[in-house]
Amino acid sequence: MDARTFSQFREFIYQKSGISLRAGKESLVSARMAKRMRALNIDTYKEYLNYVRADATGEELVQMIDAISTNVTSFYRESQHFEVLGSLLSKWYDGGQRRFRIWCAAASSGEEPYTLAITVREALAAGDVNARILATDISTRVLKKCLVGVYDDEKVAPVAPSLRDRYFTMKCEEGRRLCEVKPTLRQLLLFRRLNLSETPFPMKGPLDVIFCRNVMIYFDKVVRARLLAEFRRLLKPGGYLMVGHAESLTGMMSTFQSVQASVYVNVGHRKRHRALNGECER
Amino acid sequence: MKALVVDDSAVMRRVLIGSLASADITEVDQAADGVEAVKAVEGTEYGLILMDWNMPNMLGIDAVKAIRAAGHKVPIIMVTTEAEKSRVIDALKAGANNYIIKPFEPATIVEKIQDVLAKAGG
Repeated sequence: MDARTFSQFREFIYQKSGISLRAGKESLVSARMAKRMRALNIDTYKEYLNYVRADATGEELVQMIDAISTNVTSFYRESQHFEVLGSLLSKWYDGGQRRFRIWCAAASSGEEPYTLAITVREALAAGDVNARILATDISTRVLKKCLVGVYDDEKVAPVAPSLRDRYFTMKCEEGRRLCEVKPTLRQLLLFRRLNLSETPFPMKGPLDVIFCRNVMIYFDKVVRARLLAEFRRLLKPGGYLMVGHAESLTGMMSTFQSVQASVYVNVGHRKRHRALNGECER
Repeated sequence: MKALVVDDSAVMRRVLIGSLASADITEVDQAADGVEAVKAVEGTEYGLILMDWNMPNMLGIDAVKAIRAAGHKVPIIMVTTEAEKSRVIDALKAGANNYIIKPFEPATIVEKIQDVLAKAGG
């Protein structure tokens, strides 16, 4: 892929998804686009780009963004966030709260939202609770996996055996050992497609906790700022935002105060200047 | 044709007004809760209402009941995060014509608006 074609793809992908592809990603883009082109029987990158632009249904755009976005995820990935969440939920429950709303902003293939669901069930075992987890992703392909909720045995390995027995049904299909999530987890979840770069989001909150981990790294500063403004709008004062361990909100918005690495609390004011934990913005 | 958007969130009202514009409906009134909605319907004849569920003062579902009880036939779409089947059935029983789950995709809500209006017209 030549530089000019790459920059056309880069511009288009940014405009449509907010995903910012840096120079040097040419080989990644060509490889992933070539796969789509083979599927569609299209010979040149230019032709493919025109095809996506002309597709009024938007279906190929979804496929294109699917192919570009990477979905690295696992049960209990960056597990301390789930410990923080568990203690927050218990604390809020003890304080009299009964309605709980959590948003998983990049559901990927479902490992994160189902880990959230296990955490919620474990922390809020009482029957008088109204808890719901919204799980969104830009990719319809991964959302289908979420809905199916069936994982290879080894993928579920990070889940403690006692929890695995409680929340999964084991089955065997064509020699593969599979784990299917039980309805008690599914009942907590609502899976929806959402493009994080298209703000404002058609929802209103108030939310208690947002998990948006390892997503903002794909966005440039402009898109990130818009996203954080939406998180501020949707989170209750005192609500929590969890980001990926390699991510930092430094210098972005002082409405989010760092509690510990990659855990922020919405303190609910708008000043947007001070660096929060002394790191430099990328 | 004039539409009424009912939501306590100003941002949500803005989003919904945008969706209506995409369905070529540009004349829109706004209400911030169920009480305001019921009052608005008394004074104006609307062709469509987009109604949130959870609002202060009066819930959307109660506003739908009040609007139907007063004899208004205006098509109403519930816009809600209350996605359980039982809640959806409650909304339809109360007199809503259709519902859409938040967050929704821009194209989906436009289709739903057009669908409800076509059915109401026919």
